[in-house]
Amino acid sequence: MTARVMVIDDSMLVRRQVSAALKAPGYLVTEAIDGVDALEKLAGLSDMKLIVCDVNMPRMNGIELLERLSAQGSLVPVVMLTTEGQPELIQRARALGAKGWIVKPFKPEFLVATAAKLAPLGA
Amino acid sequence: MKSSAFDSHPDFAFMDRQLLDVTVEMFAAYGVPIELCPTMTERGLGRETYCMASIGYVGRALKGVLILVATRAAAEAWTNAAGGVEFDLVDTVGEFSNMLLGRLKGRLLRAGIPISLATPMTVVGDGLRVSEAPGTSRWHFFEGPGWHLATRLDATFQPGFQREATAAQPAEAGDAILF
Repeated sequence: MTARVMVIDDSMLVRRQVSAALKAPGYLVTEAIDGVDALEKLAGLSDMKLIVCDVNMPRMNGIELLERLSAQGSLVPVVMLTTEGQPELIQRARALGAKGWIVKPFKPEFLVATAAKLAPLGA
Repeated sequence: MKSSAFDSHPDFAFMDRQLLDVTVEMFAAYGVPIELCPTMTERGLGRETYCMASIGYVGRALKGVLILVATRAAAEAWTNAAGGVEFDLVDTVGEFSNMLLGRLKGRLLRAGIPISLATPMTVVGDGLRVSEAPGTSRWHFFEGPGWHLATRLDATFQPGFQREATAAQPAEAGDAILF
């Protein structure tokens, strides 16, 4: 069994890092380059189990994406992966329904453990 | 590319020291040792192709830019250190500038200087030159194994700038919080 995860980051380097970490235990990974791209791709994917999302991105940032997902009533858990550690931003994301906050650079094992908790393989 | 009056504002001197620290700290986190080259000047740049990323920031009565300049060899080394399998010069330098300013932002938050960040703008070219900063500015040059990099922090302090009395305690690099 597997589970689909979306990775949203304007940096290819980060998308590839996250994808490699999550593909290793068996997750299927869909990449998006910003919030706008993510919403377009999410509209065509009904099996998304987890979203890993950057904060600072062009066009639509991670907080704006959380606002859109919250307004849509999305139940897909979102974990923010960012260089930001500002308490106000973390609280804002939490209020909008985010399930976690990881500050880059991330440890792959932490990310995989977080994914396993929020979107267990085989569930 | 001159450094201008970096010691003319005590808070800029503080910010500049923090940038020095977080630059070394960030590359050390990736297992990439770098050393400050105090004798190197901007004349050392421009003889080869460089990639330069700049990110604007804004705070209360404060605004500025962080610039990160790297050779292709430097960016390739950083990509490898980050476990990257595909190399994109612009992407790598842009992301490292983002991480660098993110770390600086955390240090400044703890010191009562909150800032918000823009996203990086990155260019590649030969003989790149940067215009003089409108406010206070300072370059730093670092050497890695077979390559070098440069940073420049610009800051303009407007009337009324002051540190906040209650500093925030931001999450740090590597922290993972589940709600």
